[in-house]
Amino acid sequence: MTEIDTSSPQPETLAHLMQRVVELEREVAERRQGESLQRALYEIASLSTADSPEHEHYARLHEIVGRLMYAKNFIIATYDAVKGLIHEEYLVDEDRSQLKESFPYGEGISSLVIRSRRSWLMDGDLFQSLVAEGKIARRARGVIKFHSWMGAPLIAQDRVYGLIIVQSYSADITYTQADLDLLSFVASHVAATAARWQANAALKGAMDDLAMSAETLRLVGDIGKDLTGSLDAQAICRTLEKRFSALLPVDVFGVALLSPAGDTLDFLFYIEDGVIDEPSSFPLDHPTSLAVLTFREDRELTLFNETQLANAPSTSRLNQSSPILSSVFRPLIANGRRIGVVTVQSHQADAYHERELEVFRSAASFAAIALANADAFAVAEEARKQAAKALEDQHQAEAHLIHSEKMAALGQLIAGVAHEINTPIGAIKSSGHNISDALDSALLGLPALLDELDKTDRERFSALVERANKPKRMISTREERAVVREVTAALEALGLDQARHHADLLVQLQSHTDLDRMLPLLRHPSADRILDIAYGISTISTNAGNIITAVDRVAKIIFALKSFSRFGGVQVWTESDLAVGVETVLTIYQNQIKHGTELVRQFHEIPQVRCLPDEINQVWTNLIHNALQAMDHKGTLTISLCQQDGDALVSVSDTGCGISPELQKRIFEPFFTTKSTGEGTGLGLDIVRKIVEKHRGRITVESEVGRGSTFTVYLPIAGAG
Amino acid sequence: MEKGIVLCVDDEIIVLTALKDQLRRAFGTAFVIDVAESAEEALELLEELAEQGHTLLVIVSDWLMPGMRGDEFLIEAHKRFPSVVKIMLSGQAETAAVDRARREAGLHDFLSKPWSAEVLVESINQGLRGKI
Repeated sequence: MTEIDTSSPQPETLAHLMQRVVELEREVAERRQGESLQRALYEIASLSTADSPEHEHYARLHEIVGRLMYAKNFIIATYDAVKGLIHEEYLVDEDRSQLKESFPYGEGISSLVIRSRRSWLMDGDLFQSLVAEGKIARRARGVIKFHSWMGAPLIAQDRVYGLIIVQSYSADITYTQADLDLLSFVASHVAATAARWQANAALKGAMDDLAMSAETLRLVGDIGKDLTGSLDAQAICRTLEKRFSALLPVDVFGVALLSPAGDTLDFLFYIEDGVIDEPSSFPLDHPTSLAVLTFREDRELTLFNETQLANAPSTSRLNQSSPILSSVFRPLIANGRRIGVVTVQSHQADAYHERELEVFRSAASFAAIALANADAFAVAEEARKQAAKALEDQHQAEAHLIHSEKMAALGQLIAGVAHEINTPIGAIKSSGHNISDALDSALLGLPALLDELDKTDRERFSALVERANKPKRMISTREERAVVREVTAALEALGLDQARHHADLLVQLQSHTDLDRMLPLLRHPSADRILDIAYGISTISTNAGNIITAVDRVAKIIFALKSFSRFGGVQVWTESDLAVGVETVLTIYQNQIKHGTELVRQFHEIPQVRCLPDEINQVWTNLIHNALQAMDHKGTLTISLCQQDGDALVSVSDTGCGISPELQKRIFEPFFTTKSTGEGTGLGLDIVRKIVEKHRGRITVESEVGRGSTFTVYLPIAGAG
Repeated sequence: MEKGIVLCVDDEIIVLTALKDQLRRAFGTAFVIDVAESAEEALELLEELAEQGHTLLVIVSDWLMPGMRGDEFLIEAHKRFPSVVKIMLSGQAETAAVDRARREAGLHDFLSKPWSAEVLVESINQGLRGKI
C-alpha cells in the first residue's frame, strides 16, 4: 500500500505520480474484484444449505457468476457416472434453440471437460483442431456457433459432479486465461456446494426411506401382534388375509404348510376373489405348482407380467373370471426351518412394488412364526394332554400300588390272623363240647349223689360248688402246678388216696385253701363222685367263661380287620382318635408282638386328628411291621403319642438292627428294599411317605446301627386343610 | 404206680383250659394232665417230672408261641424222651417246621385248630397203642 503525500508534490515525480494513480486504480479494482469474489464465494457457499438444487438455486448461481464475468450463456450440468449420463440441470442461452437436455457421456466437449478433469478455454480453432485430433467429436445434433467457450469441471473430494459452461457468441467477448482461472476457482466452490446438495439429497432420500420403513414396520408390527396373538392356524390365515387386503391389492391369498410327513404342501387357506377354496394338497415333486416350486427352491417367486403368468400354471382350481397379472410366492421360514409357502396375487398388473413386497415379506416372516407357534402349540397341547393322561395313569398306578401294598400287607397278616382266629375257635369248640359233656355227666349224676349225702354233706357240697363257680383268679400254670404239688403233699400227709388227682380237682374247684372243711367230703365213701360232679358243674362255668373270652378275642380281631381295611370304601376325612387306630393295628399284630416282643405304650392325651383313618392305619401298620421285622420280633417296641404345637406326633421305635446313614437316605424311595425277593415290595415306606404328605405331615427317621430305629410321623391336627 | 402224664403246651390259656378239661374228661383218672404256657416252661417241667420219676406219655404242643417254637421244643423233648407221643396242635404252622418235627422229633401227628376232641383223643390213643 502506498502513502500519498499531497503537501509537497515534487515536479519530477509527475510521471511517477501518474504511474502511482494507475497502480492505485488497479489496486482498488483488484481489491473490489477481490471483495466481490469473496462475496460471490460466500453466496455460493450459502446455497449449499438447500436440501436439493432447484431452479432458483441454479439461477442464483448464474447470477453470482454473472457478476464476476460475462455469463449471458450459462449451463450447469451434472454427471451420473453410474448411468453414464450428463444432465443439463440449468441452461440459459441467447440461442433459443438450445434446450436443456440429458445426453450420454461420450465424445462431446462437455465429456472432454469431465474426462480431462480440467477447465478448457476454447475458440473455434481449438475446437476444430481437437475434432481433427479425434479428442472430441462434432456434435451430431447441432452446429458449433460459439465464439468463445469455457467449461470447468465441478470436482469435489476427487469426484466429478458435473461442469459449468459459459460461452459467448459475440466477437466482442473473448474469454481470457484470467477468466478461465476465475471460472475454475468458482467451479471448485460450486462443486463443494453440489457435493453438499447431493449429500443432502441422499440424506433426505434415506430419511424418507426410513420414514417409509418405519411406517411399514409399524404396519407389519401390528400384523405381527395380531398374528402371534393367535394360536389357531386358520385364525392366523384369516387375520393375515384381512391385513394384507388393507395394505396391498389382494385378489388371491393362500397359505400352504408342509405336511407332518414332509412330502406334501397342504393349502390350509386359499381364498380367491372372496371365495374360500377347498383345502388342497400338492406333492413336493409336483411339476407345475408355483407354491411347490417356491418351497422347493427356497426363494421368493415374483411374477409380474401377463406373459410369465400365462406360462405359469395356476395353483387354483377355481375358474378365474379375470386373469391374475401379478403374483408373489414366498417360503414361510420359522426358526430357520421352511414350514410352508404364502402367496398373494392380483388381477392388476405390477401390483406389487418394493413397499408392498416389503410389507408382504415382513408379514410373511411373522406369519411363519405365528404358524410355527400354532403348530408348536398344537403339539405342546397334545403333549400336555398326553402328559396329563400319563399323570392320571401314574396316579392310578400309584393308587393301584398302594392297594397292592395294602393287599400284600394284608396277605402277610392273614396267616397270623388265621392262627389268631383258629386258636379261640378251637378253644370255643372244645369248651362247647366240654360243657355238653359236663351237662350229661354232672347233672345226670347229681340227683343220685344228693340222695346219698346227708344234710351236712349236702351243705358242704353246695358250698364246694359255690366256691368253684366264683370267678377264678388268673394264675400261671407254673404257679398252679406249685399249688397242686403242695395240696398233693397235704393230702398225702392226711393219708388220702389219689392225692394228686384230688389235689388237681381241689385246685380247679378253688377249695384247696381250706382242706379241713373239705376233709369230710374227701373222706366220704363217694368222694370221687362228689369231686367229679362238683368239678363237672364247675367246668360248665369255666368253659362258658372260656368261650366268652375266646369269642371276645375273635370279635376284637374281626373288628380290627374291618377297621384295618375297608375295601372299595370312599375315603373320607374324619376326626379320628389316633390311639384307637394304633390299637387296631396292634391287635392285628398281637400274635407277632407277644412272641418275644415287649410292647411299651407311651400314649399322651391328644385331640382328634382330621385324617383319612384307613390310610393313616396303613402308616402304623407299615411302621409297626417294619419295627417288628427289624428286631426279628425280639426286643422292645415303643409306640408313643403326643402333641407338639399343631401337630400330633406318633413315633414307633424298635430295638432292632438299625439303619445306616447311607440307607436312611434311600428308605423312602419307591422299590427300595433290603428284604429278599418276595418279602417286601419296597413300596412300604414310599407309600407311608405319600400318605403322610397327603396329610401335609412329615416323617422322620432316627436310627443307629445295632441300637434300633425311631420313625416319627408329624400330622397336622387340623388335617391337610 | 405213678400215673402217666399228658403235657399240653400252648401260650393261650383259653386253649389250655379247654384242653385240660377235654382230656381229663376223656381219660378220667388214667393220666395226669399237665399244662405249660410256653416251651421253656414245658422243658423245665419235663426235667422236674423226670427227676420225680414220673412217666411222660404224650406231649400236645402248639407251634407258634413266644420264644421257642413248637418244632424246636418237640425236637428238644425228643432228645430226652424219645418214646413220648408227640402231637402238634396249631392254628398255623409252617410246612417246613412240621416236616422238621416229623423228621427230627418223631412227630406222631399234626392237628389244626380248631380241633375236634374225638380226633385228638383218637390220635393220642393211637400213639399210645403204638408204644405199648
